[in-house]
Amino acid sequence: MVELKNVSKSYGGKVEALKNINLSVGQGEIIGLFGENGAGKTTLMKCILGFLGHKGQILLDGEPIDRKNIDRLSFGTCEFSFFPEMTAAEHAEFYEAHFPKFRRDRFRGLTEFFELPTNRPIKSLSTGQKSQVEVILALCQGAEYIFLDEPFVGHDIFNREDFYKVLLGILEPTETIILSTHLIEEVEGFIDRAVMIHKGEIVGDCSVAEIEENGETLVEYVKKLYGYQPDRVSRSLEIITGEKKD
Amino acid sequence: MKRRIFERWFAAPGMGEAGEGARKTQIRVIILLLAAIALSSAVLFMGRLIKDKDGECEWTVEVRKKGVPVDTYRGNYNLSSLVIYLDEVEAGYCYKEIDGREVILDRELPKDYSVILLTIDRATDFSVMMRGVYVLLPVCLALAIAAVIINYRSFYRPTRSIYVMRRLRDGGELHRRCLTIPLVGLIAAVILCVVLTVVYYKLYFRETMPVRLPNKVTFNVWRTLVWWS
Repeated sequence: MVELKNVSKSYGGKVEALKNINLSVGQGEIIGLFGENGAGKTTLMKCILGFLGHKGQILLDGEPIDRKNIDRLSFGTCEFSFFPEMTAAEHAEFYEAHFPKFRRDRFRGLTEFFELPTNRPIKSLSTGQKSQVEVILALCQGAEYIFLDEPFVGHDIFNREDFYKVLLGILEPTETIILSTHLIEEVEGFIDRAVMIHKGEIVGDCSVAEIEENGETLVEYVKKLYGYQPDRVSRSLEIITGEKKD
Repeated sequence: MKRRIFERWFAAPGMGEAGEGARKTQIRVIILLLAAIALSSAVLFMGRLIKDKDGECEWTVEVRKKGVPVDTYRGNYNLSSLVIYLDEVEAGYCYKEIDGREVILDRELPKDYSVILLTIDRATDFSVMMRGVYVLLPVCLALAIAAVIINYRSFYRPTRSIYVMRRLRDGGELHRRCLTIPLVGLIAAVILCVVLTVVYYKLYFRETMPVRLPNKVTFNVWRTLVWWS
């Protein structure tokens, strides 16, 4: 279990990116992390992974996250963390050398599924292919907690849908996915739990099953939490154009 | 085994072909710099040594007959030209020090004659001869720092592969790749300078007449690094 206790993060002492976050992530969960741009989703992930300093505690099964247990976490990001000069095959070798639980079979299967060339430098692939490599490496590292930060950049909708299905098929009960995305409608059928961040604070944390029991969709639930005003577009247009809109 | 030692001590600063290319480039630069340090310091030092040894210096000798001064000669040519002021006696001269400064030049003089060196210009101090000979060493330091910065930066651009490196169990992997080659190069340059200094020191004493040595031969490390001291 990953536990965050009173985690706060500010940039330059002025911008509070995270404010007293308390969150628990259990094994086997598929969690959607939602929030507007700048809400703190990426900052939250980076604090958990130890890339950013922060206040508060972040524990993995009761222990601080350090070099001894960091390989239990993996990370796929829209910023891309692969080595652009290396091929996918070379990445597999590198990961195998440094992450003892690297899943070679899963890597082979996923690269074949996406029809990715494994002997070309990653930098020569398309944006969609690059993000596929990024996600595959995160999934194949052998980690128990897989953090994916907007991983579907450049993926077409067919690839995304197929990807969700493949993921559900290959994930083991002990593997946990924490997925940050704006594609709320798409992942509604894929995730178990939705965590909403707004201006650095967790404003909602609910299972998808509970949301559905209340007769809502995930999108409606998120809009309600953010206080989304349906007439904000018409009001803005009135101000911009000076014409009254219905 | 050799490959593993090479990989450890000269870890590629990046990954893939770019990393290998960066490694080769940095090793080539190190070799070039080491050669440049050796060559430039040798040219500077030896040039100064030869100029000092064979250049002009002022000296005064006194010719005595049976110990009584009979003549005094002053010159500002190199010492080997002393013989032209004396009888046409060839053969070399040798000297030894007595009473600290007076030196008797023994050669095949006519009977009862002796020549005493009264005064002679001192040779340039070793410290002055070594001025700026290692001016490339600060350049090495600057290039090493630049290489370290470039190496670390390669994990932040164009992708954030630093996220992978910071998740490795071996926390030294990143630093080994970024620091090893520049540090090895810098250490090699320093060792080369130390070895060259020892060689130049021995040469200085070998090629400088003891009578011309300064009262105190000095060596200032910082003076070797800058041209204007």
